[in-house]
Amino acid sequence: MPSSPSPLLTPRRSDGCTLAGALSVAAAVSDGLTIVHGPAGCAHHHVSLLLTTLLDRPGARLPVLLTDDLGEEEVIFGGEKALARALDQAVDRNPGSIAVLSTCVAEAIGDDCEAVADGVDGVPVVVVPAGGFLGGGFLAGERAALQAYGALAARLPAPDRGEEPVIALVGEKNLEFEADTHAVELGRLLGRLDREVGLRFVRDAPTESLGLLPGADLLVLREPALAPVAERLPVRPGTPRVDGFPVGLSATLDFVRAAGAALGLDAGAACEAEAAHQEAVLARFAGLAGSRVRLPAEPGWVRELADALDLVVDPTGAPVPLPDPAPVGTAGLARLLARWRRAL
Amino acid sequence: MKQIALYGKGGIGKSTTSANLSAALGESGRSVLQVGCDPKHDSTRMLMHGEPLPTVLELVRERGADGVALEDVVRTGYAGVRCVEAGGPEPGIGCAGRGIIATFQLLEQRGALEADVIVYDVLGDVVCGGFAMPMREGYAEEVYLVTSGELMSLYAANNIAKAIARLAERPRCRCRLAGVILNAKGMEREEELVRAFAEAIGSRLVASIPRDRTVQMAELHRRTVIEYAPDSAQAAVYRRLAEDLLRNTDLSIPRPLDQDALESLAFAHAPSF
Repeated sequence: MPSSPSPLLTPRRSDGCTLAGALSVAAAVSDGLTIVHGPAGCAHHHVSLLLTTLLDRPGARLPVLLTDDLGEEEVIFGGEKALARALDQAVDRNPGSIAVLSTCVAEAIGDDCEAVADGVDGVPVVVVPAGGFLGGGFLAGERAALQAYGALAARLPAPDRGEEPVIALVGEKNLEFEADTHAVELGRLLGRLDREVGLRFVRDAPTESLGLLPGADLLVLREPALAPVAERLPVRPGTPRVDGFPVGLSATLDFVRAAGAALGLDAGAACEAEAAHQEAVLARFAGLAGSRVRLPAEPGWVRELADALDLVVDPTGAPVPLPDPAPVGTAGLARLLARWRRAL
Repeated sequence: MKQIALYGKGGIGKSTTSANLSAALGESGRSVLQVGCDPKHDSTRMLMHGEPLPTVLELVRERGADGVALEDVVRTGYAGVRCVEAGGPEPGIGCAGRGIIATFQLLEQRGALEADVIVYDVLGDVVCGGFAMPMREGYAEEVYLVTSGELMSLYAANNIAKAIARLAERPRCRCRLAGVILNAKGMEREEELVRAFAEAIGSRLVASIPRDRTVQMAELHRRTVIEYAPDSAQAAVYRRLAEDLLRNTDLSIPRPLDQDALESLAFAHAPSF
């Protein structure tokens, strides 16, 4: 256990607690129920974060969440009985699946959540170790939860998938304000190939649908950093993968091309159509040509966009924003350019 | 008030030594409280003639802390010694160290920690912060390391010395090492080795308790040696220990050994073959 320097406190969500990351995935199972195995205050803190984020989504489904409210007695004598009681209550609510998320306290006293979960009949249970003190933060929790639901997917019966290939979006950032907008854009790009998103793993997905994962024909990861998670998902050997939602003009075309190749389709026409669409979008912002802009950072896709619009990148130019996360697809670039136009 | 804690490796004879020490002190007219700080809650068994005590944590679990009165957890045993057992979780579950902290908080709140001498009998090694709590929070002002000449026992004693040394750096901590007690296994050159160990860590051997069948016989009869065989040589050893501990003012901050030094010490005093 090497000691690490004290982290600088920043508002980046990726630095948050492992439990929040795991919760962001578990709560996105639309018929699921989540048990936070820990003190009620710890559960409430993270649930508050989740619900506050959901308030930004009109009509969003509120997830069903329980805590077994561990106190000093459970710390001394173990919290497994409290978890078993919470699981009984959860089963009575007849959810599609139950997620058990552990906390620092439960991990520190060594509760065997897996063993308790094994005692549940009739409802599938996933256990996600989510003690924040174990390190890794929000992203570790998110990835552990994806892994746990992957293991669950392998145990579920395969639902009727119809004739169409199954394209799975993997690891959408459920607390991102634009998560659904990104998914819509991915759907639009796949539509160029006459294909559609078949599974969102895991966002607004009923438990049963997760059984589509093992037979998926293409995995589209939200970001390249999810590759280690994808490698351990229970999919067929050689299942093609696109590692990351596309960001930038050429990356978007590359995405269409790669998805077509993975699905055994000729993507030539689809790429031409998308390229023409990009030209049309750029034409809407042709008035920006010649503007001097100052960028807070200059990744390749930004330089490409600036060049396409004949913008002049200059440290003394007008400051324009770069969103975090970066804009996805052509639609994301169009929204970004609209913001730049307001800034200029 | 004198607050004494006996620490040492599991099974080395802390509870036997503690109970006989308490019995000897009680016999001499002192008010004595013995607190067993081991989840297996058998520290005071001989003082209570085998009667199992309800443990503090067991009652807290049944009734909640507010439902536990002092008379529920403190029982009077041989020679008027008041006995308490902290108790704790079943092996392999929960956090026994947190249980020790909760027990001391409850005993403190109930005003139980009052006597001429309080003897704390603490689980084997300092396995976590919870078991160091009696030292850290100023309950165990004088710590005695109970050990035999076996290397693993010395290793545990040395570990506890490390904890005392670390805690003693804190300005408010009153915990000090008061000495080493040899509870002999009957090994060749055993006393010589333990004396050398005590001196090497900056302390001294305060008592050497010989291996004697009287101890086993007393335990089989659920009695301390002091009660079962009051005129025996072994009882005299425990009485002498009690008087020595009462008079002892030679407290120190130990200088624990590193692993190599400890093993070299043991090697240098190894029996000849």
